[in-house]
Amino acid sequence: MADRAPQQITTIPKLGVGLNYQPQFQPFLDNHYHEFDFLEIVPDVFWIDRGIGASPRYIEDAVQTVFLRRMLSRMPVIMHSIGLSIGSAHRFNRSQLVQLAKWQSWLGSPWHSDHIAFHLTGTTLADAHGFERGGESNAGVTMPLRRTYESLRLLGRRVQLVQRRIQAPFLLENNVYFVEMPGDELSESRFLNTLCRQTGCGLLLDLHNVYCNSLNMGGSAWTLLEELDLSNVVEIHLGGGHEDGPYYLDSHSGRTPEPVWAMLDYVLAHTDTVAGVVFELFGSWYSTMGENGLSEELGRMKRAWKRAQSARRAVGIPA
Amino acid sequence: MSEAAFQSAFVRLITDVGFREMFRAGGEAPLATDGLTQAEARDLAKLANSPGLDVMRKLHLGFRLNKLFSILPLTCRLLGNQRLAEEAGRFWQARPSSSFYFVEEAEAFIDYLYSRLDEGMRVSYLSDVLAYESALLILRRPRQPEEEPTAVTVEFRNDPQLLLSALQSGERPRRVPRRRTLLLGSLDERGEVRWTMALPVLAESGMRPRSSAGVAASRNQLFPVPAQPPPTCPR
Repeated sequence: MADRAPQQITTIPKLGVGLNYQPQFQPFLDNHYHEFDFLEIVPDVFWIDRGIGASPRYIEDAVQTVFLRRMLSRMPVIMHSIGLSIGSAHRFNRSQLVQLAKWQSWLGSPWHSDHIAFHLTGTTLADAHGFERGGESNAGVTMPLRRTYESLRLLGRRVQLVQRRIQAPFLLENNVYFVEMPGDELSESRFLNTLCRQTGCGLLLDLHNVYCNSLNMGGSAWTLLEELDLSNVVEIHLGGGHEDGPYYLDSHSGRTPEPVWAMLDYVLAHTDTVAGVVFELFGSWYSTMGENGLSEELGRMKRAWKRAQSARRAVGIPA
Repeated sequence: MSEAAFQSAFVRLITDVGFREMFRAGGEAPLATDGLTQAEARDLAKLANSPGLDVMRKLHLGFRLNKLFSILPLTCRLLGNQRLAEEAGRFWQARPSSSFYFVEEAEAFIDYLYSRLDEGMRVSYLSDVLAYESALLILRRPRQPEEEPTAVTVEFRNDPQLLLSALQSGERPRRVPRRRTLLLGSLDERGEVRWTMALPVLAESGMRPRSSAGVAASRNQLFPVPAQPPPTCPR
């Protein structure tokens, strides 16, 4: 595939620090919205997909949408979807794309994103375990793609479809791995660099995923960061996790680990393309982290962001 | 086709223990007819032996279990951990995950538990609690702006206040008196669910407790509002 021009990545407005939306955060969002600059939502949780053939196909949650409109009057709202299943070889969820385009038009997100993963598969294999031939299965987790040229071609076609339908820049997020994928033809850095170069999409760099992968799969997170073309990075995700036996899980369960803060400083110092840094926390962990804990995390992100912007200004680069 | 078959098999290695065991045992033969190359079948066998797959299975099951805990907390509490694990395991085996959406999975689990009751499974108060949480699903279902809010009636066999308050405070209910009662559920102006206790049902219908949806006006006519303030079900 021929290289495509990057989508206006350098002209994306610099928003600053963001927080992911969870229904449990509503009181916090109402009372502490001055502590962050934008809200990131998983739009898929604001509607129900009634399936192929249903009319209307999507029913939106009127109550939650009222809350979202209130937040939109205060700050930008960015869509970070989970439902495209952009890496599914089985099929592409075009109806989801139409629904996302509708939401993009009223939210006016400066960019939007999804995951380099698949979760939707056809149940093509004959079996004695309850799957119907011709049906569909949804893994419910972001399944990693094989890093092959075939995957790049598939993603390239799908990214083009997204870019044609939704005018705002589109980003894809690096995944977390718990298994070595047999048949990989490219390293992770080369895969991500090629994907962005060939499709013109931006990178949502989840630094906690990078950290998890270095712990679980070996390899150095720093080597990956050095090999990545950081000029593709538009957004960064931070978050916390926990140990489960020999593995470390990307569970969004609390504060960002110290090594990830150091990675954030590194990336912010090495590219001027980052437009937003988002802290991800699952709603079920909110009570554990607490209102003060969340405020402190956002405050630390703000300080890191401002430090990087000041350093940029000091050497004469527009922040 | 081959990549689609590979992805399908990769997901099944996580969702289906028997399928994974087949690969661990070296069973590649049936796959050649299903669009996998021999090389892909070998790759899948390697994946099947990877300990990381256990973590992915745990995440997959956690995702499914979270759907049930989130939408049907009282049913889960009534079943208790062991019974819930057994029944959820049977349900998941019979119904592979087909959607990200929580409500769909919860509705299917309710249908499954009703079918288990029909088969003779005995769990005290389960019919009442299923009817109540089904009604909550109907009331909380996302609506389009022009759509009329729904009202729902739930018929209980046992005292609903004692039963629900025990479960909501984290206890397994015991010795709840039999008392056939109708609760009327509706949404207030803020979208919160409110319950009104209607008159106890006088005639024994012999039917299983159930919930039914209708428009608020007709239900108000059918079931007069009692003098005492209606109980509010916490969300």
